[in-house]
Formats: sequence, structure tokens, C-alpha cells
Amino acid sequence: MPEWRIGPEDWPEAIAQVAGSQIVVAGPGTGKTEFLVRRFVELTELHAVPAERIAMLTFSRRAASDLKDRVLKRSNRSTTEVPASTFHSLAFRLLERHGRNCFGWDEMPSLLTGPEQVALVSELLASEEPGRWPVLFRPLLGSMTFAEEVADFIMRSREYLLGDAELRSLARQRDDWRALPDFLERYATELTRRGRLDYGSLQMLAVDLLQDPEVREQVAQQFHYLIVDEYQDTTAAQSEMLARLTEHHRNITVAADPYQSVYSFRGAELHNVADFPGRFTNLDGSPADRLVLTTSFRVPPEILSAAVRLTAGGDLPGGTGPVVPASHSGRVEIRRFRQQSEEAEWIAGEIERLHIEEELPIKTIAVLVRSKRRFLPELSRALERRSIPHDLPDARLVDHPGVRLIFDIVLAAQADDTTGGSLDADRVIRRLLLGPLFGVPLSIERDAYRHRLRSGRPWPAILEDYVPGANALAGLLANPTWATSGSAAAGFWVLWNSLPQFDALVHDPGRADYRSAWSAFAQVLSRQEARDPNLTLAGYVSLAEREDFEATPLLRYSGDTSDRLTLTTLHQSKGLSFEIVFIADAVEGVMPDLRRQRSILQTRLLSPHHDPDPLAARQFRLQEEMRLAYTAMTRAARLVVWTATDAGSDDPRRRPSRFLSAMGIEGMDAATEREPPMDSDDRVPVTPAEAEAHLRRMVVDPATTPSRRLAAAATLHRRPNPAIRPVDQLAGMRPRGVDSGIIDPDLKLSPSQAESYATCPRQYALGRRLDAAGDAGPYASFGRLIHDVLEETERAAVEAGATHGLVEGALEHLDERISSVDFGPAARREAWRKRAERLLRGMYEAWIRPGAVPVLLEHPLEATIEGVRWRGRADRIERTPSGGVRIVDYKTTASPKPAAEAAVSIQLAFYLLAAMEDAAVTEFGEPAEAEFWYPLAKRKQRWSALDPAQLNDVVEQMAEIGRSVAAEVWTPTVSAACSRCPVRTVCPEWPEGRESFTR
Amino acid sequence: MKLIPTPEQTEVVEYPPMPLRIAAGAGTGKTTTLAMRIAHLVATSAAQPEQVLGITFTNKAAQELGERIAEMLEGTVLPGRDVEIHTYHGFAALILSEFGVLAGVEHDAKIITPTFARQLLFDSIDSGSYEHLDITWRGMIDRPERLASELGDNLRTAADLVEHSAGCSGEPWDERGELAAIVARFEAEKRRLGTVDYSDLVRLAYRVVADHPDVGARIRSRYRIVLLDEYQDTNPAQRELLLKIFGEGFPVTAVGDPDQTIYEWRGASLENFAAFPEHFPQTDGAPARTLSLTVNRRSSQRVIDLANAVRGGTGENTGRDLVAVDGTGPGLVATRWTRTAIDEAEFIADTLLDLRAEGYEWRQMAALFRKNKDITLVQQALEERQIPAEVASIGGLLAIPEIVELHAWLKILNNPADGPALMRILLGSRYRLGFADILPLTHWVRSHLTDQDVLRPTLLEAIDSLDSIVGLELAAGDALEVFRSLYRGLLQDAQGASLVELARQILQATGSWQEIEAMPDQSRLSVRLNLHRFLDLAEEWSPLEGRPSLPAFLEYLDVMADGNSEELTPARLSGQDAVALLTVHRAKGLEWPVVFIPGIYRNNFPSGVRSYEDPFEKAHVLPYSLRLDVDRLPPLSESMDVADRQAALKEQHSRQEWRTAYVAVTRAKERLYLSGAHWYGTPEPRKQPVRPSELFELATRYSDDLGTDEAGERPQTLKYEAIGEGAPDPVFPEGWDVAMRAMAEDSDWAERRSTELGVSEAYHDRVQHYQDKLFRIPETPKPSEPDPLSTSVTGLVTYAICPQRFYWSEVDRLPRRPSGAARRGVEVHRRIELHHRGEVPLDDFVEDSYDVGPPETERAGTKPFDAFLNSRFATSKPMLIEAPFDLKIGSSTVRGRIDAVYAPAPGHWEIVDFKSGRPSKLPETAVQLEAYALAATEVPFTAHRPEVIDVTFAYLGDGLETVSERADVQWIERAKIHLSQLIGRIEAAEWNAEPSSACRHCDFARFCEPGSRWLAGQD
Repeated sequence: MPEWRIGPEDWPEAIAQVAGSQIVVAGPGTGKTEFLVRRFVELTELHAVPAERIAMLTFSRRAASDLKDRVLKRSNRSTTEVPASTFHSLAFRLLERHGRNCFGWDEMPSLLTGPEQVALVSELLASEEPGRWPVLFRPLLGSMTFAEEVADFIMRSREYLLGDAELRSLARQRDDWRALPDFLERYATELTRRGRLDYGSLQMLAVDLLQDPEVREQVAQQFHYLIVDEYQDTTAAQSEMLARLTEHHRNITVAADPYQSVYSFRGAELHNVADFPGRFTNLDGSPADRLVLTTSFRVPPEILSAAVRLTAGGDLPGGTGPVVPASHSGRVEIRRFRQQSEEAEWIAGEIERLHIEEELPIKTIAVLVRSKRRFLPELSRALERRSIPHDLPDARLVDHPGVRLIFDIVLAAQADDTTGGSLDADRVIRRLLLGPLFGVPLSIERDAYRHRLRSGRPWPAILEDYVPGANALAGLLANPTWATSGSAAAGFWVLWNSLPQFDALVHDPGRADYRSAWSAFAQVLSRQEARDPNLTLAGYVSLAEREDFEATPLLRYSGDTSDRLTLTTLHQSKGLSFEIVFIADAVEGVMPDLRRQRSILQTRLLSPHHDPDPLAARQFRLQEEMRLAYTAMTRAARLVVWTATDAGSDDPRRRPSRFLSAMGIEGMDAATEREPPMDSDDRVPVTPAEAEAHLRRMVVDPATTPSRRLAAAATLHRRPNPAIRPVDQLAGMRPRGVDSGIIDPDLKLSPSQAESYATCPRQYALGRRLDAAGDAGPYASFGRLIHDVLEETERAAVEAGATHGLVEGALEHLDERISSVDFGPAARREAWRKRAERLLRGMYEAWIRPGAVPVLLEHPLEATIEGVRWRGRADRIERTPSGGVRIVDYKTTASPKPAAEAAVSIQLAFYLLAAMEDAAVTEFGEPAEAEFWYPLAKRKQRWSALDPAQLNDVVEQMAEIGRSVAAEVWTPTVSAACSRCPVRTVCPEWPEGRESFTR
Repeated sequence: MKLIPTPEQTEVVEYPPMPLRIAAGAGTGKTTTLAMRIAHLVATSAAQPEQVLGITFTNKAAQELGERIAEMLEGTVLPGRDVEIHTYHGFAALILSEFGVLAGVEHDAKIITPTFARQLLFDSIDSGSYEHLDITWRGMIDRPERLASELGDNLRTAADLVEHSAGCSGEPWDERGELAAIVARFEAEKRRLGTVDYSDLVRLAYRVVADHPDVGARIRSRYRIVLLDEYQDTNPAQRELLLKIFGEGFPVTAVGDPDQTIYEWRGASLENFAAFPEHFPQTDGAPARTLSLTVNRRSSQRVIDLANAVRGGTGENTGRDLVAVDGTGPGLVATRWTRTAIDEAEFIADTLLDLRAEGYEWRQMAALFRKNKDITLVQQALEERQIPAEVASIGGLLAIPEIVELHAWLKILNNPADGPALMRILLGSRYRLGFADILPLTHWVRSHLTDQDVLRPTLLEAIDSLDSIVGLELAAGDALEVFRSLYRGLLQDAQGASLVELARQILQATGSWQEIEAMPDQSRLSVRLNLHRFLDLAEEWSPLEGRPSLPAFLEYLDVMADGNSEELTPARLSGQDAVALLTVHRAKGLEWPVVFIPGIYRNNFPSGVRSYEDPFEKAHVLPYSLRLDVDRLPPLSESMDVADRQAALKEQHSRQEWRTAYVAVTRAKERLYLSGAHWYGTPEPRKQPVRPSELFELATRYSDDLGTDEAGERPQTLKYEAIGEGAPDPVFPEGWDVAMRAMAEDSDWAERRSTELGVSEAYHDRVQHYQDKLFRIPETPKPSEPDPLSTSVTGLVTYAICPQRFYWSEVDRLPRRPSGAARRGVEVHRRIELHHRGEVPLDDFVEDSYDVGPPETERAGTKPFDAFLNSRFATSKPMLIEAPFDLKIGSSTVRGRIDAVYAPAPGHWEIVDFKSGRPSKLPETAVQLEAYALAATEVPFTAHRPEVIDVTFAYLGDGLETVSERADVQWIERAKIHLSQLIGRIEAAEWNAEPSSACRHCDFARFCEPGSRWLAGQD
């Protein structure tokens, strides 16, 4: 077999040789695609072959469009469209043109997308007779996973061109496949009945079609030359299609790099490359020429050798042998991080630095990952922060917040609002109101929601009455026919045109991504309408809520080739080239990806080239992953940076990939070495933000010289660069506000306030004076409920002349009142009711202090201590058998205070003191006792009393509290109570209360 | 360094591939020995690397084992080839990802984290009704959680428990029944959501291999050797799964140290290691052999002596004592008993300083605590002495001020009623309001309270209504205004944003990254590190679609902040030079030259029994009869006295505590300091001093006594005073912030100060230097050269009609009206092409080829394609049909597609553009024909260029109407100039609106002010 090793000087000659069959085998960066492009230009410009007589084929749409661009660039003149397309596209054209004659089609079947295919298979499987299937699979006929496996099996069997007979003979050897041939037949019948065509059959039928000599003749007329890129990725069906297309002239040039064969999971046959010369013989029977491009223009020795080490040697069938690296020098680096977010931050920062410091256009940099599900969202955020333009591959359009808000409107319109209690509708509508479309201020939203909760009226009415400008939304919600009838596209158009709120977002420069999302969404709906005009917008929304729904990427300005970062997968980087490539998230388990997937059917064994031995299979996968890494690395002309996390999280997969050690390069930990030293003259900050931080650090660094610190401070003030923020916007710069002036001259205190102050003055000020310590939660509601019930029960008892109420009555009052308290879901309310019941039974089934007669309930008391007025309300005042008066305070907690604390309780002391002066009380006798009652506590602890002997001490303490509050002393008290303190995060005594950013 | 294996290691390494148990004491080089064994087996061709399966407990262990094996294999096999190592859960997940469908698990099933599972469990509690359980208790959720996990550990489900409980009543069965019902709902909810949690992984994987022996065989066929690491920590479910796959004589090597079983309380079963020889017998049925590793390569002689003594307390007789390697130094074991916990913390801090002076690095030292709560004081003592410390717990994370701030923002965005969070921000470093500035807000709230408040007014609402607040100081009002606009913006973005997205937006909007960058070196690094750690937490917190993630995340943080929930996994330290502070449990598997173990007092370490997990008393404890390891559990029975049962449980607990002590002690390589104090309790000391525990007493017999202090009086408080201010700053004695404010008033301030300090010359130098540097930094990065314009003919026509319309359809796109006319246009073109050529291409650019004319109403009964069929075009053969081209004009490219070219005579081209509507009155559409005509002269459509060109619009909307023109040389020259002008204007980004009658059909008219005005004027 003739093989020509082509150095740079041999190109013109090699390109000029346009006839016959050749395979260009080439290492990375040796100009494989360039060779094809120049071949095309040679044909059209020197040999005047009309462009439409040439077919340029490649693997993906993007590669096809890249080919077009490169041809346009190289020829630099007006042309008819460059005929570059994908294999699928060519197959489709062939079928469209000849299918009528060859297969008797009335109409070209329409293509079945992957998800549609799985849905169809799943539908058919569900109606299968289980008895036909092996026992193992019978329970799986309804499973989506199994449907995916079968769909994959169908796809692969078509790509391997396995006809019915061959499949049956294979299935005879494997019991687990025995049901499949019959099923495939039924599937094919159904497909035909529905007028659809799947991607696998598309290729297989195209090959069938070319069996017809007449068709072959016509095709030979149409395409005089074929130029094929990425031949190593072709399937059996595709290479067969090429063989037949070129049978009449054998004018075919294919380019391949077996080391870049990374698509075996999509049916790529590695052997196609090695087999090419013998298979695509010239018309005279001579084997095809092998042109080996030996010199890389892109990849320098450092990168190439690391990449070669990574593939661990072992030449592949049809490989090129050693490649001569480019003459410039490059570098491979490894960086390890503790956390993924740190990794992302570092990469983004590094890209910013390279862009600014080294003036590299962003588009010459790429970040490649093995799995786009994992790392890219994180990285994208870090990039956004630095305004580095980039696109996320395959972000789900339906996840864009702009589209989500459209969904919210549709969901709200459908919510069953008539009952007035739909939490979902509440949530969705409040989200809408607060979100970017309406941007309603919190106070208006809360007010509307308040009215909604109180009145139970439907949302449209609430919106009309309480939310300015929401009439249009109210109208849409009141009459949702736009969402529930007519096409989805028409529904969206109604929505889009109804809400005046879109105006502001259309003109908001910060919402360009929203507009892009809406416009893409409208297009998707428009296409959807063409496929299925009966699907309503509501129907579409419920379809789209399913996971794995169409991942339409955001469309952007089609002519936009601006300076954007490439963020993509290792697989999709194939065929691209950059100055600098980051290979990120290189952790074990992700890279190499050695997972065995969907192996229930072991579909890969359909290929004659696959070894059934699990060890061989694993090695094959590993080698392919190595080739993938090799491919990714060799995209770079200057620098490859591998990054990985190796600690920090307990995700089972976060340890650095074995590839990192296989390259034989020392790694660097973390990213700290990029820190510029404090006042170095050789390291200039590259962004205004860096400069600002740098100066600020200098100002506060006592180790720096005074002149520098003063100069830094002065420079911050002068702001020679307007991108530096004004000084008064920096944290720690505002003078602290004062804490005094929150007490009226006419101070009134309550005993519970005093107790709070005694616990901690700061907590008191925040909680009781400023109402800023948050909700007290269910325990407070519970306490109020119990007090209300007890008051009501006891009042009835007093009126009836009894010494106390009865449990039955109390429980009745409880049931009446509890529904007005918000305890959350029914189960919780019931639990609180039970707790209340326990308390009431504890109270009444064994009365805590029998023998006394209640005289006053919820009685207001007042006292003046050193000029400060104190006020409070006694739960219960009773006359004891001894003739004295006792004041009682109910406590609803289950854990009583120690008796020693009750003995000196401020609350009890106040009651006693005030009662002594209160005529309404003294009328019943001399107040002598004050007690807490704890009905929920253990029997022995149910009451504890004030010690009257200590009353004076307590009163003195109260006087002191009165003075301190009046003097506004708010110094925090540290005590055991701190562990339950709600405002500890604003307490200077605790680590979490320290100021941020100013240490 | 090449290790010379000890004889006992050699025996392990060379043992044939048969079931084998290795009892490996602490520090005996277990991982190395295993790696050597693998290397030996690979070298003797007993297995290829890929055929070795290693299963470890943690990822860290997996990594270590993997690396060690890779080292050993180096040179033997090609790089990149590797053994397969998983965690126990990971191995189960692997089986499910392949075969899970056989147990009803779809392949996209999501594995939920324990915290998210907890959330589901919480919902499951709320959806029940209870006779016996009290769910008002906040910690209640621990009970079903515990039960669910015990069920999982023993391959059981709630249904099994219900079945088992049939007929039982009274305590604890009544509560147990309700707990089982909660767990059952929880299981159902997981199924409904298509998710599995960690305990499901093992249970379902077991189901798969138990129900499908061929699947087990398939998995088995991939391996020749299996290694089970830390086998003493596995639970019965894991063992059963392994047994199902690798039983019957498969060469399984299990390594473990029963003395380090410290996870009994979460399912680890002593049974597994003890009964391994019987569970995994040899092929001949004989029990598996056991080999021991006892030579400790880690620790010094005295540490080993103490470790052996501590083992005595574990009550197990599991093997021989540890033996030090010959020549090991004695090292140091020392004890210290101080008066207060603060003294103890300071003892540790001071000793650390001394050791540092002796040459130890910070990272070589650690303090290990039995309980999380004891960490704080030591941390503060270290902070005060500026000793870098790394606290490995989430609770610690939430106490870092910058994270508190972010947390506070998340809280107020979630719940506008969260006062403390709001205070954290308003009183914090950016706004620095005082109480007096808050009071007017409080007044507003109070004046808006009503009796029937279902949703109480909040301080945030007050701020939102800022303009109606009276009594605010001007400066406070300004600050609140800034806060309000920030809050409003974030609140908008919070609707529908993902959690981590939101966290990022907060950091961005509040300028926090900038603030952090401005912090001094030491703080900056640690804050950044910790903030990333928090973001990772948020990132991993990805609950399922449609679930409110923010409230759930905040709830989770609350739970973690409580500090009651222990973090189970071993710590992964950053490797930074810092002293590690962590619990003993998290220190498992780690080692340091110097280790401190503080807080060794009675009931703390060893800890007392917090609650007796007696299955006959506690409803949430799984009945022993449902456990798979009942043989090794304390012998409890219903007939026993409660006190006897408690004694048995206490004994079990105590042994585990001694094992924990053993783990703690064996972490030390050279020096070990054990300490305690009389007075504990922070901030309020206990009423009574505490006493040294048995562990401490034991240690004193093996240690140097560094001193025992008197108890003395009970201290007032035990709390570290806030870290001191330090010495006054000579440059800014008034404080740098005050100085900076002064500079705002007085521009010469800095200069004067520099003169006072005698550095004025250097000062001026520096100012100049910084000025220069800053001038040179661009405000925004330089934009790169834009690529030449590439657009379509359609685009040019649109631009000619109205630049603003072009902008909204091509540059900053807005939705377009779904147009029937456009679709019909496409359809007509397809049919015309089919008519002429018999095929149509697969068209990727459908969007660009719709008719650009205004949508016209169709007259009923008229079909555009019929009009075509009746036209002269139908019968002529076109020279070109649907001919695409790329036209270069200057450096720009214009894409287009000519509908058809007919040749009435040789060299005479009639370029036809078919329109499905009626004639347009818009002259701008002529741009289309200009482009086509120009293309005809420049694009090599055929070998010969046309000599005469006619351009024709053929309107098919109402019968056929044609508008035709001769395009001579001047015409084409004009066309070229016209097109170039349009392109030039596009490139110059001229997007002004040009209202015309076209506005009537413009999809964007409503957003276009001039257009709307024009339309209004027409009516």
C-alpha cells in the first residue's frame, strides 16, 4: 500500500493530486482539516468543479458549519454555498429524492428524534406480551431505562447494518436477545405506519438505496468528489454509504486520526481507518493512497509528549506513527484544589489575567470538561462575575429564569383558585410579583398576600384591588383560555402581548439573556406548532416540567462570532484549536469515565470487533478515555492546564484523575501562588478591583511602611481610576450609629421586660425595644392559647361560684380556639392540641393547689419603683383557706425553673408588690403569696413560690433595672442563656457576632 | 524509600488468593501491606490490575489505597491501568446504575443526600396523624431517622417492621407503629420522586443480586480479587450484599481492626469482623484464615504502651498487643490537669508555641476532642496567640462572620420576618446603623399592627416603605435607601434562581468578594477558603425539581448549627500549615506527630450514656430480632429487669468509648498530651468541679505529669474575652477608618501626617507611583476586534425597512409572532423547488428564509402554488433553483438563497423571487433583488456569468403578478453601493427606529416608542 509521509514542503504537490482515493492520516495540529479545505478550494478554483458536485461530509452540524467557514475564509470571495453537511443530512437528502421510487413512499417520513424514539419504544414495550420476553426482562417492559436500552440496541443494530436474518442468527446465540428480533420487526412496522424514520434506519436505508444501480448512477452524476473529515468516527453504515457513493469514480479523500477516535459508544468503528486503503481501492484496483501528515503546526513538544505519555503507548491500527511537534515551546500544568468552587474561581481568574495581562483574545482559550453536567454551571458563575463572555453548552432553555416566569404565569392561570386555599397558586403568584417581571415592592406584595389570606378571595380580584398595574395579569389569570386552547405558540403570543410589564424588561440592558431566552422559546414553540398544532401552552408546560426534556440551548445572534470563551466537553473539542486549554474537573470517576452503562442488554456486543471479556472491555474503555484526553490536550498550541479537586468534599468521586499522574508532571496544590505580594513593584494588579483591594490591604497592614500606607489611603481617596469605588462605599467606613435614644422619658416597664433585661440588656433592647429578635414561634402561640383557654374556663367557674373549672369545659374552649392559631400542617396542629390537652388535664384532673377560691382573673396591676412605672397583668388571684391572697402565674412549659429562682422572681415580686397597693385585690385580703404554676411539669414540680423574705432584695434589683434601662445601658451579659439567644449573630461577645470584612 | 516488610507482612503479602482476614492494629501499615499484596498478586499473574476490586469506607481511604497500589504497580504495568476502588456505598450505587432497573430503579434515579432525606422525612411526619407520638418536639425527627437507618442497615423496610409488630401493643409498640408509618410514607415518597438514599443503595443492590443470581455472576466475573477495607465498620446489609456476590470461596481479603470499631451507634456490626471466617469460608468449606499485623510503624514506644493499656478497657480479646519497631524513640506521653477549661486551652496553645519553637510545623499538630462543644475555647486560645487553626466542622463554618453575613442575606430573602438576620446586615460593617436608627422602623411596624394580623408587618416592609418613615437621621436614611435597592434587586433575582446562584448573586451584589480581597493576608485566605466551602455546601444541596430549596437549605443549616448532629465522615484537611482541631471520630485514619486530647474528665471522655437505646423501651430502636447481627448484641430480653438491660447497654457503650479512646491515642506519632481541668462549662461554669475520668487515671500511669492544679473557687464565668484591640497604630492612632473619613473632609490630611511622621518624601514618591499604576489599568478590559459582519439578505431587507426592527430580530432578539404567512411561504418555496428539481435539501436555516414582506391576507380559494402552476415559470426549466450563496461585500458576508433563475436566452438571466403574498408597497424589499443581482455577477453559480440580468418579484398571493426590472451595470453598481451603505450602518450599530407603514405589521411595534407614536398618528 502506497504511503506518503508529507512534510510541510510536500503539501502543494499532495493537494494537487485530486483524483482517486486517499486517506489522510494525521496527528493533531498537522493540518488535517486544512488539507481538506485546500483540496476543496483546489477543486473549485483550479479545476472549476462546481461546488455542488462536491460533497464535504463530517460528523456534526457544528463541524460542518466550521468547514464552511474555513472554506469561505480561505477562498475569500463570493461563492455558492459550500456543500458541507453531515452524514445524516446527506442520507436524508438521498432518501427524500429517491425514496419515492425505491421504497414506494408517497411521502418522505419525518425524522424521529432520540427522545421520541425512546417514547415510542417504551409505548410498544408496554403493550408487549411478557411471555415473549426472557423472564428477567418481563418486569422491565414498563421501565423507561429498559426502553432506552432497547432504543439504543435498535440504533446500534442499524448502524452495524444488521439485517433481520443476521440479527436473528445473533439472537439465537444469546438467550437474552431472543425477543429482540421480533420486537424490532414490530417496531419497524409501527414506525412505517406512523410515517416516521429514526436515525439508525436513516443510515441503513440510505445504504439500501445505494444498492440500486440506477440510484448509484444518478448519485455519481451528482457528486463527483467526496471529501470526508473525522473518518475515524464513522460507523459501519457510514463507511458503507461512502463506499457505494464513490463506486463509480472513487474520487474520495478522507481524513482521520485514529488517536482521536472517541465515539465508540456512538458506534464508531476504529477499524474503518485501517481498512480504508484496501476497501476504497482506486478504479484500477490499486489500494488507496495513505498520506501521512507528520508535522504538527500547533502542538509543541512539551504538550505532545505529555499527551503521548498519557495514551500509554501502543500504536493503533492505521495510526501515523510519531508526529513531529511544532517548533515553538509550550507547557503543561497541573493544579489541584480543595473545592470545586475554588477551582472554578481560579480558572476564571486565570483567564481574566491571561486576557488582560497577556492580551490574549478570550476566544483563543477553552475550558474543557468530561461531563458537562458537573462543573460548568459553577465555572459559568465565576466567569460571569468577571464579565468574561461565554456560552454554556446545552443549558436547558426551560430552566432559564426568563422562561420559568412564563411557566409561572401559565401555572398560576391553571391553579384551581376557586377554593381560595391553593398554596401552590399563592407561591407561584408571589414569586411572579416579586420577580423581575413585576418587581413589586415587598410591602405591596405582603399587603396583597395579607388580603388574600384574610379574605380568601381569588387572586385575580386581589391583584386588581391591591397590586398597581397588575390588571392585565389578573385578566390572564381570570380567563386562561389562552393557555388551555389554541397552539402553544399562539398562547405565548397572547401572554407576551398582554402584559405591559414586558416593556421594561425589553429595554433593560441587564436583561439581554432574558430576551434571548424568550426569543428562543418563541421559536421552539413555533416549531412545536408545526409538529403539533394541538398542543396548548399549558400542555407544553406540563410536558417540559419532565426531566430530560429538550435541552434547547439559548439561541444567540447567529452572526455573533464575538470574543467568547469556549466552554465545552472533551468530545466536542475535537477539531477545534486554541492557544490555551484548561481541562477542568479532572477527577477520578469522571475522567476516565469507566462506568459500565446500560449493560443489561450488552448492546456493544453487536459489534464484531468488541470483546465480550469484561477485562478487555474495561481496557478498551480506558484506552478510549485516554485518547479523549489526548485529543483535548492537543487542542492547545501553548498551554494546557489540568485542574482537579482532591479534597474538601465527600463526594465519592473527588480525587484527581489517574491521568494527572500518568503524564509525569509535578502538580501544584491550590492556587495561592497567584497572590500578588502586598506591595511588590514587579507585580502590577491587572484589574481596578485588584488594585483597590491591594491598596486597601496596604492601608490596614501595620507591617507596611507609613509612607506606603498613607499613600495608599490618599490614592484611594483620589480615585485616579474611576473603576475604583468611592471610599464611603467600602465596608467598615461608615461611622457607627448610636444605640441610645430609644427610651421614652416616660418609661414604663413590665416584669417580663425586666426579666429579659436581667438576662441580657442587649437582647432586651433588640427584642423588646426594637422588635427585631424575630418570631417567638409556636411556643409563644401555645402560651397565648393556653392563657386564653384558662381565663375563659375560670371565668365561667368564678361566675358559677366554683373553686375552679372543669376539664371538660376547658377542652371545649380549647377546641373552639385552637383553629385560629397557626400551628402549621394539620398533624402539627393536632400535636399541639394534644399537648394543650395534656396541660389542661394536668391542671384540672389534679388541681394544683386545692382549697383556694379565685377572685380575679387577668387582673391588671401597677406599681411605681423609684419613679419608674411598672405594669403587668396577673393571670389569677385567689383567696387561700387561710384568708390571705395569692397571685398565680401560669407557665406552659414542661420544664419549671428551679425553686430557688422562683423565690427571687421579679415577676412574682412585682405581682405581690403591686397587689398590696391595689384596692381591688386587698378587698379580698392581704396579698401574701405569689406562685408559678406548671401544669405540664412532673407532679412534684407543679408549683413554686416567691420567698417574701427576699422581696426587698428583688425590689432593689428592679429599681436598678429601671435605672439602667432609663440610662440605656445595653452591654450584653454572657450567660448560659446565650446558647438560645436569637441575636447572637449581632453580639460582639460571640465569634459569630463579630463584624465582617474588618479583621 | 523501599520498605522492608516484616515477617508478618510478608505472610500477608504472599498468602494465596483465598478468603483471608487480616487483623491489623493501629499504625501497623495496613494500607501498605494491602498494596504490596495486590502488587504481588498482579506480579504473579493471579489478577490483572483491573480485576482487583477494593472497597473502602471513605473516599479518602479509597484515594490512599489507590495511590499506594499505583505506586507499587509502577513499572509493572502501564500507567493509567488501575485497580477499581469504591466506597461501600459507591459500590452499591455502581450496581444500581447498571442493574438497578431490575429492582425498579430507573437509571436516572437521583441519589439524595442524608440531609435532603431528612427534609423528606420531615414532610412525612407532617402528613401523618398521631395517637402516641408527640411531634411538637423539635428533635423528634431524629427518631424516625434513626429507625429508618437501622432498618436499612439490616436490609429491612418499614413493612417488615409492621409485619413483625403485628399483635404487639403498649409501649414501645404503639409509638413504634407510628414511627414505622412515618418511615413507610418516607419510603413511598422517595419512590414517587424516583430517588434513593444511601441506605436504599445497599438494600436495593442486595435485592438485585439476591433476585438475579446471574447478575451477581456477571459482576463477579469482572474480578479476581476483592479487598474489603475497614471491615470492622461495615453494617450487616453491606456484608450480606458482599456475601451474595463474593461468597463461596471467592478470594476476599477483609482488613480491619475491631479495636477501632467506633461506629456501632450508626450500624457498624462487630459481628462482621468476628465471624468473617465463617461467613466467607474457603472453597473446601473450612473457615477463612486470619493473619495479624501487630508491628506498629507509626508511634513512639510510650504512645504504644499507653495504647496497649487503653485496649485493655475495650473488653475485647482480639489479638496481640501492638509492638513498636526496633529503634523507635520513646517519644512523650504527658498529662496536665488545670484549674479551668480556659487554663487548659491556654496550656495547649502555649505548648503549641513551644513545640513550634522546637521545630514542629503547625500542620504536624492536632487537638482531638471527644465532643464538638469543647473545641471553641481551644480555638479561641489559638486565635489569640495567632496560631493558625483549621476547624473541621460545619458548626464552625457558620460562626465565621462573613458566612454569617451571607447566611443572613439568604434568611431575609427567604423570610422577610427574620429580624435577627436583618439586624446582622443593618448593624454590620457596611451600614453600621445604631439602635436609634432602627427605632423609627419599629414604630412604623407597631403602627401598622392590626388585631387580625395573619401576616405581621415586618421591619423589612418598613424599610420598603422608607419614604413614609418618620424620625430617621439623614445618614441612616441614605444607608437604608442603599440597602433597600440592593434588597429589592436581590429579592427579584431570588425568585426562581437556584440556591447557589442566589448565594453568588448576593456575594456579587454586596461587593463581598471585593471586601474579602481587601482583607489582610491571613484572614483573606481563610475567609475565602471557608466561603468556598459554604458555596460547595449550597451546590451539593440540590433538592428535586419543584421543591423550595432555600427554606430547606436554611433549615438544614439550623440543624447543623445546633451542633447536636455529629458529622460522621472523617475530616479532609486542607494541607495548609494550620493546627487541626477536630473530634476523635473525624480524626479516624489520620495521624500527627503531636496530638493533644483535652477534656478527659468523667462522663465526657469516656462519655456517659446519654440515653439507653433499649429496644424494649425505646420505640425508635429496631427490635433485635429484626437485626442481622443479633448474636453480637448485648443479651437483652423482655423478661429482664430494666436496670439489668441498662447495665448491659452501658457495658456495650463503655467498650465503644474505650475503643474511641484507643483511636484517639493511636493518632499520635511522637508526642501525646492528655489534659483536663476542674472547671468546665462556658460561659457559665458548672456548679461543681469535675473529676478526672478512668482514662485520665490510666494515662497518668504511663505519662510524665506536667502538673495538677488546685480546683480553687468556682470561677464567675468561663469565656474568652473578645480578642483584644492590640497596640495603637502609629500611622493611624485614631483608627484607619476614622482617618479615612477625615481625609474625605480634608484633602491634605495624608500629606500632613506624612510630614509629621517624617516620611513626606517617600510618601510623595509612593503616591506618584500608585497614580501611575492605576492610570495604566484599563477600566474595563479592552474589547477585541469584532469579526466582520455576517448577515443574511433577509437581515439587510429588514434593516432597510427599519434599523430598530433589524436590531430586535437579529441582534438583541425578541419573540416573533408565529406567522401563518411565513410558514405558507416556506411551504410554497418547498413545493416550487420540488416541482423543478424533484427534491428539497435538508434545510438548517429555515428561520432565515421566510418571506420578509408584510403578512398579507389571503383571498379565499386562491392558492399560491396554484398560481405558480398556472404561471410561465411552471413550464420553463430553471437554470438555478434555490441557489444558496455567500456574497462578500467588503469584508462582510451576506448569506442568501435565490429562489430561481430562468434563462430566457443564453447569457440572459431572470432572477425570480417568489412571494406567497400580494405586491408590497415597501420599496425596501428591493434590497433583496439588489443582493441577488449582485450575487449573480459575483458568485460562480455556473461556469459563465450572465450578460443580461432581469430581476423579478413574482407575487403568487392573488393569481400571479410580477414586477420586473433590468439590472444593468449602473443598476448593479448602485445596488452595491446601497448594500455597502447598509452594511456600514449595521457595523456602526445604528439602530434608530424609522417609522413607516411597515410598523403596522411589525412584531415589535409595541416596544418601539417612535413606531407607536407613528401608528397612533395614523388612526
